[in-house]
Amino acid sequence: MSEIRVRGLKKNFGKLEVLRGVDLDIGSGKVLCIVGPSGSGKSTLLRCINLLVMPDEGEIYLDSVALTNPHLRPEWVRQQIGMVFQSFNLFTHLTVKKNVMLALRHAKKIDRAAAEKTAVYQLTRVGLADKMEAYPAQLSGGQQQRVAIARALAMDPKAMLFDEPTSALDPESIHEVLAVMGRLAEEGMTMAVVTHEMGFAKEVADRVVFFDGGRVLEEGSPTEIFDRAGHERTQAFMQKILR
Amino acid sequence: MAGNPESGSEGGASSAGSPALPLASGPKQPPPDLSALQPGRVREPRNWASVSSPLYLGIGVACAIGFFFLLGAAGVYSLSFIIRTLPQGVGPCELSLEFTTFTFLLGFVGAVGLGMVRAHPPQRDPTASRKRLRTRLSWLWRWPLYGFASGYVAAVRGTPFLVQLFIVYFAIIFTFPRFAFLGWDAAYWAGFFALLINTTGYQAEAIRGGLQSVDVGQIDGAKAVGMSRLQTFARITLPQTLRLITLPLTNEWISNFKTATILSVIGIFELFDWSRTDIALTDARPIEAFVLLTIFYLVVNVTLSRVMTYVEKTRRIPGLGSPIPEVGTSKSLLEAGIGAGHY
Amino acid sequence: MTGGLPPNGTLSPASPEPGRVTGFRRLLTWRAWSPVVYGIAATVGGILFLIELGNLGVYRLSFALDQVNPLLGGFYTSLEVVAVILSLGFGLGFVVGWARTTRFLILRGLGSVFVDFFRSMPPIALIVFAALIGGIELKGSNLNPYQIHNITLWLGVLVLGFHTAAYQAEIVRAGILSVPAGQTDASDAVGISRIRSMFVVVLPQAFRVSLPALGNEFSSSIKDTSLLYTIGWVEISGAALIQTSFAYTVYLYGSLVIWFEAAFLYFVITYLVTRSVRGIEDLFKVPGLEVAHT
Repeated sequence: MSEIRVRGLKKNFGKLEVLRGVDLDIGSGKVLCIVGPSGSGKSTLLRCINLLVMPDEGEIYLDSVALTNPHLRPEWVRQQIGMVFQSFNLFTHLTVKKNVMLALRHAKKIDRAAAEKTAVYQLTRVGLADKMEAYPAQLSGGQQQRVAIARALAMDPKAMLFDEPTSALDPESIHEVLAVMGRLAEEGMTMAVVTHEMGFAKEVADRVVFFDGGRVLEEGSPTEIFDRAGHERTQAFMQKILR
Repeated sequence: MAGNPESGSEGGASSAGSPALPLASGPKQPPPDLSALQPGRVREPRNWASVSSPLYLGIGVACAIGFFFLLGAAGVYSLSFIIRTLPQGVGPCELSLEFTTFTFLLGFVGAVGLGMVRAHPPQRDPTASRKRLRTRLSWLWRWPLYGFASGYVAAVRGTPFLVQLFIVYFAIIFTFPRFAFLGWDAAYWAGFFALLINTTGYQAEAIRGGLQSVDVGQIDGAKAVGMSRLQTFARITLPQTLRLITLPLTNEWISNFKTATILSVIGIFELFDWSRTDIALTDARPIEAFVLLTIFYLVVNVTLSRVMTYVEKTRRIPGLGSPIPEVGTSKSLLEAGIGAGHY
Repeated sequence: MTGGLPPNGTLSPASPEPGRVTGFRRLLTWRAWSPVVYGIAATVGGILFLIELGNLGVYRLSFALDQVNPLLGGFYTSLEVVAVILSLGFGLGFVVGWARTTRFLILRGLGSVFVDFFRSMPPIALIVFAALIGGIELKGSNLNPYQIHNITLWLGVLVLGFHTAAYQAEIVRAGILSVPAGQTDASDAVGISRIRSMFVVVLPQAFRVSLPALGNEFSSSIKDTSLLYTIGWVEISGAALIQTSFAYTVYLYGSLVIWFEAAFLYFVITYLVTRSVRGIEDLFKVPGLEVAHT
């Protein structure tokens, strides 16, 4: 697994400054949780890391490779870092198995049999072995998100990004998705998770970052941030979230 | 339609314990139970004349035929004359269909290109300084191309076909007065060309609407797993677009078929010209002429649109497209002016 | 630029808030000017460019200018016809569209027949046959030929009105059906009667949703009016055809010039109508639920 380092990331959308100089470190095999109010730029930060959004200034390093190097193919970068979205973004016109196989066959150019084996393996790993021929719209939210996780894992990434993976789920489904994510963390995956699930952050995260107004306001271990926050904005946010 | 026993939410308990389907099972799913997928769906009255079931459709057709015979018997028009002259119309009808279909197919080819250009307007890119030179210079050819495509579509959609026809007709007649090719003279080819230009413009807008309606989240998903832009387009955007534009393009064919009647003003002997010249004027039976024309047009247009609506409703991929095809037209398709129920 | 002017708010004692830019200055800097200004600048620029092309000899400018007046006569007739057709079409279309959403089978059936028929038939056939058959039926009556001719002209317009009403009925129906059933539930829950809730809850929302599609249908129907020349109307196409019949004896490609000018005039009408519809859309706009326009 790899470490990710972000230095001085800045991004504007028109006149709106979304990221105002972000520095972040995710150690190899560690889980980083990013918490903060809506609109603070957390999603944009994650999307910059796998180059879905091109930052205006700053550098991102995966191990020793600078991802913002213009000579680097973004497709290659995205194959090294997997991403799971809040709205799942599964391919609605393909079955679950084909969803997982698609990128293997076309982005990584793996032949059909091997791709199928990997797909089956990953889908079994997330607990959906019996849903392989179903279409995404026939599955519940939690099942769809687990397919999305399997799809990202099938690419054998060096790190995984999760953008509010459980925010669109009903309470029953949240648990099943968090369980999968917890297992992933135990297996030693480098993860950056934007989430509102404080219970998950407390249990699984190695470090937590409080993000507001386009910058990192506070950083520390889960107990430091949740129980003994220094910054008053962090405290105010925690009071609202944790009851 | 019984619900698929595997569908619906089952919470987290369904994973490791349940029996696995054989992995090599056939890929065909039975048509899904659509009502389960649309919570809070709007009321849809059971419309006997819409195609919710073949039974209602059969009743509708029977009523129409009965009405036709009834009016004939009542003396509004002469049934025997109509039945006698019906075969005469087949030739002109064929000509109309030829014009319509060939221009439609050829137009589709051009429209795909135009639609793709129109679907991606060039925009200012603030992160340009971080990209390669080749990407940064692309605006040089992208702006004029987009301008041309937009201008073409605006001109074709903003002016009446009659005007377009006369422009093309006079241009060709004065430049190549004695042109003849494959049995058609200059007037016929002028009409063909004008119809071609017209339908290309309209189809381009439908295709653009379809391209822009594809859920942007799926494109994100494809990018996130490392597919290149070409692959994303070919595997994700294109299949979904083709499904989304099936009904609008059918409506465009029907619209083309009706527009082809205007070709009669430059002397092309198609269906409307036949009914007007031969029957209404020469035989002095305008009512019968109109009924004949109605028969041809209703049979072709209504059948086609019903069949396509039926096909679209029953063979859809679950979750793709809007719940009520005639109603929930996506924003982009609406801008294109071609909703699914509109021809 | 502000040097020498008294501080904002003191210029007119009646201004409600200090700091608010007053009167004439506000008029000059009003944001809404810019699209109007650009539009006018673009049109004037375009016309000047075309005139310059004419001066350079690309086409005969004098001939083109000669055509303007006759075509303008047709333009005013077109405006008149368009106004009638759009009003008739919308009124009838609304009624039929609504009828198709009721629970009475007979209304829905009749509505469907109307819509299917008028959407399947080509407008030129409708116009010509309406005038022809109408004229023949009226021969027996005691109207003089001039009156009969007049009536047949308006029969053609009537039938075009029906044609566009059929399309608008579909649009209205789609708009009504797109209002979620929950809205009716909610108004039931607070005790508003079904009929009243139709008027105050469903129809406003349905109308707002159908406006873009209606605007599109209006522009389509304007283009259909070009076919009215076949029964004798002298609107834009009619005037253009008259001009064309002497044009090519004078100047071979003159007919092209005439028809380009006719196209431009149709553009103007379409632009006026679609702009008005967009203005109405703005009136009904709900923040957060806007439809983008290309």
